[in-house]
Amino acid sequence: MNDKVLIVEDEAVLSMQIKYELLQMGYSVTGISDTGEKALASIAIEMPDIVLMDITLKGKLNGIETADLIHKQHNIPIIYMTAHSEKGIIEMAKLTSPYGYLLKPVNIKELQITLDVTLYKSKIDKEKTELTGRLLSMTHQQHIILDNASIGISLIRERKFIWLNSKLAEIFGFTREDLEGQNTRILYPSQEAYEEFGKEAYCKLAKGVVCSEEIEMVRRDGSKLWCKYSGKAINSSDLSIGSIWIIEDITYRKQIEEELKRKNEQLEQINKELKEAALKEYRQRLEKEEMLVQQSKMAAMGEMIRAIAHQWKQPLNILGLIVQEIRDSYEYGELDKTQIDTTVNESLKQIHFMSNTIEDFQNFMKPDKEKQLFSVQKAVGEMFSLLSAQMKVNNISYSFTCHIHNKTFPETEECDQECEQCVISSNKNEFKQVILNLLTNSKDAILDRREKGLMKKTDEGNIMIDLYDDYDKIIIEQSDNGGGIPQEHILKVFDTYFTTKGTGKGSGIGLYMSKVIIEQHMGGSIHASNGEYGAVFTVKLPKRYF
Amino acid sequence: MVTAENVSDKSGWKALFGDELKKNTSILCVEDEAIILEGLKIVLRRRFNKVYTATNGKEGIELFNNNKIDIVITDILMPIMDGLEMASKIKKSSPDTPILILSALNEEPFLKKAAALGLYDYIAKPYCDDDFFEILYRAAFEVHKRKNMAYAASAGIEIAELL
Repeated sequence: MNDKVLIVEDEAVLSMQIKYELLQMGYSVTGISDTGEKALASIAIEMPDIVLMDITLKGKLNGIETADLIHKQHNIPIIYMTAHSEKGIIEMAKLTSPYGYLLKPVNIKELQITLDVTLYKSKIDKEKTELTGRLLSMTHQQHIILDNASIGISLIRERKFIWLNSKLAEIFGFTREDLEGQNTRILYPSQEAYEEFGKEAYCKLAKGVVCSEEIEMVRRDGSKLWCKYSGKAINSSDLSIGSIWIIEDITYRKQIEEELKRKNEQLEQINKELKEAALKEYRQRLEKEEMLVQQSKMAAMGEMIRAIAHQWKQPLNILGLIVQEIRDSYEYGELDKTQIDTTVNESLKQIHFMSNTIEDFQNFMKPDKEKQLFSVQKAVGEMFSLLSAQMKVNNISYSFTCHIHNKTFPETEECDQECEQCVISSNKNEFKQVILNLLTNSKDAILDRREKGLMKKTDEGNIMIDLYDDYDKIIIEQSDNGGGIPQEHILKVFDTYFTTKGTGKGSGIGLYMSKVIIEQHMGGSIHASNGEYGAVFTVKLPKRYF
Repeated sequence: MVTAENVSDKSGWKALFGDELKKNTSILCVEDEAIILEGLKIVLRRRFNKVYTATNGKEGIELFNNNKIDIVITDILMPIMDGLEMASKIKKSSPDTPILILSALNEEPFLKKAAALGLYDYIAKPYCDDDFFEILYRAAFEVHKRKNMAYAASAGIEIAELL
């Protein structure tokens, strides 16, 4: 499109000639005005790209006044075209920022160059104006953004606030005006903190890296707060230009962190306490267990001593009788060699029996921690012999039948064969302790039943042990006619300190320890039930348990 | 003069009444342990002519009922019928017969019962010493005295003369 030119000239011939020349040059002409007023009216209708202006015009306004109005209203480039070359007029024209000043008579060549240059310059000027406008509007937008950001933003130079957003001022309880131009020192809790942060921060800024720190600051009212600072120099090689700082109030986060830290510490403490409590509990349990083992041993020892007392009574009676008989027969003159021999032999037999009993007891009390191979049949038999006198005194008969060998004790006496089928590997005395406990319980149940009148005093008590072979297990079944265990107690008989015997009679440890020995030490099982006449205890032991 | 009331020497009984008592006193001895019963029999036979033995209360009662028995010595714990049951039965039919209990150390509860039955005395095992025989002689003497009194009463003789 052709660039449009408005000609403002009161000399008609000249204006026609210029119009002609302009058209020749390729411009279009929006009009020719001979007064300033007409020129302004023409511009209002059709905006020219350039105005060629004469200074001397017909109307009230001269060319300079008209140009001034156009310049103010429309920013259209103006080229003066005049015969005036006086200094005063030129000075006046200069104030209207004309693009060119041509002297009449107009040289066409000169006009063309001036028009070209003017158009180019005005185009550049327009672009510049537009860019400036855009820049201003962008700056304005950014200011709005920065000002409304929810984090504090500032430009700091020489540790002074050059610019800051409202949020930053708000964080510290100030207004923007309060802080602008202020030294940042007022936000630090102490001179030391101010100097220390300065050293550290400026060192990083000089390297061109982001300086990020969390430090404690003070508000206007003196209250403390935690801030996160992120700063970067605008130009790291010239720190005097300043640096941009982003500041966040992280007091709440810090509080949560502190809280979390405290909670973690509490949790750790609780964990520690729990661990200690568990350990203590564990130790106490071990101690209690150890104590129970000792108590059960003492109880077993008591039973053994009771058994020995019974066992020894008869041989002691016999020995007493024999000794007195020597004197008696001497007094009656009957003592001879034969009688002495008989007496000595009989005495030795009794002494031997007593020493066997004591040996059994010693063996039983021997602390044998190691496992050994032994015959279940023999161990049960030994326990029965030790208790035989006590059973007899209490009018209790007992029988021990080994169904593996079809033998019944005591008729066949002790079974000395260490037969394969009933050999197990374990702690023999612990096993005997279990048998002793079961037999003692049966005896006590029978005596209790007699005492309560549920059974006649003269009624014979019965205790039976049956030994069976069951593939890879040995089954020991012990039964009596003691009336059995009340159904509500049957599940509790193996509990610690549970006893149905009267005060001072039972400790409630025997069966508990029996269960521990059978299950934990021997890998077997023990079970209580009620038979026709009394309790039945079934012990199952794995053969050759290792 | 030595009399039954002032015998100080334990064996004095033997010297005083030995032969008389030996001839005239019959003893029943009940004990289930064979070897002890045998020992008792030997020492009793030396001192008394008539010694009956039984191994349980039931046998003892039978012997007591079928024979003229002056003194009973019995163990407590025995099969079939124990000593105390037998003693109480004998006491019923013959309240004057002295019954001596042989007792082992662990039988104190039975002794209370024995005392309640009004039995003569008890002897702790192992026995067979002078105390045992003194008790036995004293019982024999009392039996003997009672017999004589009964005889004298029936014959109208003063008791003092007999002693």
